[in-house]
Amino acid sequence: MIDRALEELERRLDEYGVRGRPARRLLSEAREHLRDAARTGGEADAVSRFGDLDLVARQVAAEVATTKVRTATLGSFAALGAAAAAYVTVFALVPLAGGWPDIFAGKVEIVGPLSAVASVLLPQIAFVSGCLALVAALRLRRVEWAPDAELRLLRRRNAVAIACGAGTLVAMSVSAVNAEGLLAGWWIGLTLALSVAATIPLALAGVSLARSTAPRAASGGRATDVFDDLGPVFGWAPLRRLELPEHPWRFALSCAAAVFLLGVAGGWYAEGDPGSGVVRGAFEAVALLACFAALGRTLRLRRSAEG
Amino acid sequence: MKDGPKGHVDLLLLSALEAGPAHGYGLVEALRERSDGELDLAEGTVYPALYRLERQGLIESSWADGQTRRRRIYRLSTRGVAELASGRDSWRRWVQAMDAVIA
Repeated sequence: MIDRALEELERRLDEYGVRGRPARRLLSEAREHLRDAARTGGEADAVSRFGDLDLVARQVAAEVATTKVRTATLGSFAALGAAAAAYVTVFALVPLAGGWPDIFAGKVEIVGPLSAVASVLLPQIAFVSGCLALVAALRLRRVEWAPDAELRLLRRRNAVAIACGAGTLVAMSVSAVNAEGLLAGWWIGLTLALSVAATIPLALAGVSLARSTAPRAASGGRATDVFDDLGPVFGWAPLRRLELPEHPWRFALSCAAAVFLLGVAGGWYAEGDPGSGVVRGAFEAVALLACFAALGRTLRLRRSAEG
Repeated sequence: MKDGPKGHVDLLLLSALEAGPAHGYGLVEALRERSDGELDLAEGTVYPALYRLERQGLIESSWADGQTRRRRIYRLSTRGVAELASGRDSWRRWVQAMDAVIA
């Protein structure tokens, strides 16, 4: 009877995608548990007291899924940190390698502006998406079971962050190769080496993320959104009055305005020219609005009708 | 009382572990004994709850190999001790409030 119950439990675990070590652990613990329980009331009573095997399998699946997605998110964020370190190092060393060349002066004229735009936009998307995934993952530590929708959202945010992180490294490498003859050879070599080195943790994070698709949590409930993630910020009275969760484009325009002002200040400070600041701020603001339109639903930057 | 709310199961498990490290069946037995048989959990659901407490850093576990059997032994972590104290306090306040209303 115990053997049949264990076989049934194994089958249910497999059905929900719980395999390998977590399945072996539960089955081992369940076997010992049932053997102990059978001593006092017999095998049938032990199996009956153990409860609904499907419920146990489903709860373990939800638990393992939550843990795997959370671990994958922490891994992704660490990998993005490595990519960010490579990015900052490479661009901080440009002045020592000959200074910023004209954007159109590379070997292939069109590659310069394209890789420059990618080098500016992709890391920002990676940063925002990675941070949102991290905030949600940190909250998972305290929850009982994360709904399947929440875990899917976390995977999407991580996937976007990893893809944009990898895109940044590619753009950086392309920029370096295109700038051959304009910047010192050691800088080009260093850029390529750091890009390859930073790609390795990103690739590992991608593998961990792909593996986190099993088991499936099989638990209902809606995914959270950016307004849940940053609840204390949006609870601040002046922001509450703006009713941003109910008006997604008001939220996007507010962020774009803030980014525009930051861009103006940053550009003005860096280049000593307010006109450059305005151009930079406007570019960042337009890019933010475009990203919001393209990724707002994917990353849950806007609250859906049911949420 | 059959299968209390999940949060209460967590508190019960932490409380049972306060007496010392135990394996899953030992915890179920301890709960049954300490409640004079009133707490009659679906025993298998203890394991996902234990895994969750472990993820939350409130308990730790390791395998203990005996002569013929291999068991997973659970014990309270430092954070678990603090969480138990806080959970116990909340529970007592809740019971007092309920008593005040329904008595």
